[in-house]
Amino acid sequence: MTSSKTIDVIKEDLWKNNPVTVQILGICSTLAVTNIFLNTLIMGLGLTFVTAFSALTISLMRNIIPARVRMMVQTLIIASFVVIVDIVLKAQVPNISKALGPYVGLIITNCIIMGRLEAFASSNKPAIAFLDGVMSGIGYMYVLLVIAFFRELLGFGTILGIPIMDPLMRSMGFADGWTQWAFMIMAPGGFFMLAIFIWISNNISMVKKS
Amino acid sequence: MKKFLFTISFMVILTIFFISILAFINESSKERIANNLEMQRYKSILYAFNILPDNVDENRLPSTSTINDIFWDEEKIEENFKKQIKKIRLPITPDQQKLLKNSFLSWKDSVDIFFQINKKGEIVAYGFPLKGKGLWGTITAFGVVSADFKKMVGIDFIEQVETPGLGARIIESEFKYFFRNLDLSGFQDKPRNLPAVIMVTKKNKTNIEQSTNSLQAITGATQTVSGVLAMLNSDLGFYITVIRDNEHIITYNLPKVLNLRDGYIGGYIGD
Repeated sequence: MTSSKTIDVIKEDLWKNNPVTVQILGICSTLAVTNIFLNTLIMGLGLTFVTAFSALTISLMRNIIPARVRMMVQTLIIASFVVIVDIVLKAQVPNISKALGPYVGLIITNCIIMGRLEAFASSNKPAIAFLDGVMSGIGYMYVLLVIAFFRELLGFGTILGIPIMDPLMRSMGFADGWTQWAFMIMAPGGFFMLAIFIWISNNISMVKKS
Repeated sequence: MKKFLFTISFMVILTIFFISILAFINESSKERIANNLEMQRYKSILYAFNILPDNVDENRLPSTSTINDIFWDEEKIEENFKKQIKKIRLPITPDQQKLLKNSFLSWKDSVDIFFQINKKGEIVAYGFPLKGKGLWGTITAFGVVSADFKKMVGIDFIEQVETPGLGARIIESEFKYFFRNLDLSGFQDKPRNLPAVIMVTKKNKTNIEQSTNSLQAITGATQTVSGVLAMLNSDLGFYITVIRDNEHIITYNLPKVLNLRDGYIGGYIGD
């Protein structure tokens, strides 16, 4: 794994070809879980784990997988890692597992994972494929965390469940405290924040290019 | 042909390999997951009965906190549960069955009732499982009413698959707190066409401060909250009728239940 290829993978996955802001993949979960910061963090970590280890497994087996069943093999491997994540969450952090509900299982349907396996892991060596999986997961996770930060802050007035806006507003002399923006908690709030994020990131990219 | 056989064999071997790994992980964590679920259920039931750890003041919990935010030692949960909560299975008569249209109990001939006893051995509250329809799926809850059936003691939502941040907020203490001391007189003397419990957009006082038959709704979760309300108005009335009609069975069996080490008659928790 050459250092220039490593840097390229990191740059591509985190910024230039970010799965959420550039490829517009994984949007379902982006809208669904980003109203609560902690759920988003666990979802992001779960997806990173699944993407990285699925990529590693596919890359290790890339020379022996028959071409006509490669999609079936990829789905089988992704589903296995998702089930592992689900079992570990249920056994070790049952509270968070309960809070995430059906979204852990839905990692299987996240297009980012299948996309990276098909586009990268199936034609690259294990180490770089694993790195690509980790970076794709982080690229997805940081976008979601930024969105979740603002949605939870404005929607609930909290971050990680800790009240922020209400004490802040009261300390500034607003006796009624913080009025929660219900819009931010709902799915349209997710669309709104995602659009703002894509708009800002595209502008930064354009400025850099010019 | 050779290629075809290789493809089939490859898929079969790979599937068996991954299934074996999953089976091993599942088997090694099965007990722990079952224990977590049981503790969660005990904790929910205790919460609904308003039995909380000594150092927890419900009023001081953040409005978004859930039962998971209440730290409670597993041993204490089990100890409190076995000491204070007892269970009995009551028969459902054909007349009572008529009240059960569209209910999850509609095909059952008996029902499990939990009750809390005080230090004198008297029953102070009755608890029972509730089931209703949410936006995305079934909502399973545990509701508790006072022994005179006039007030609700509490509720906890054990299972739900509602939208996180919207309907799923039914599990937060802000919503559940309005069930404490909820007025249930509507189940005793209401005309049948009016709901006994209603939902309002905004309540200035909790039912502990001023007991009413209303709960505060959640913004953006109309269908979930409507499901909860429908569940209460159908199931609570039924349970109150069944318990009232079978009070003689409970009184007759009470000494026997109290003498049992785990305090259950006719079945086990969660069955």
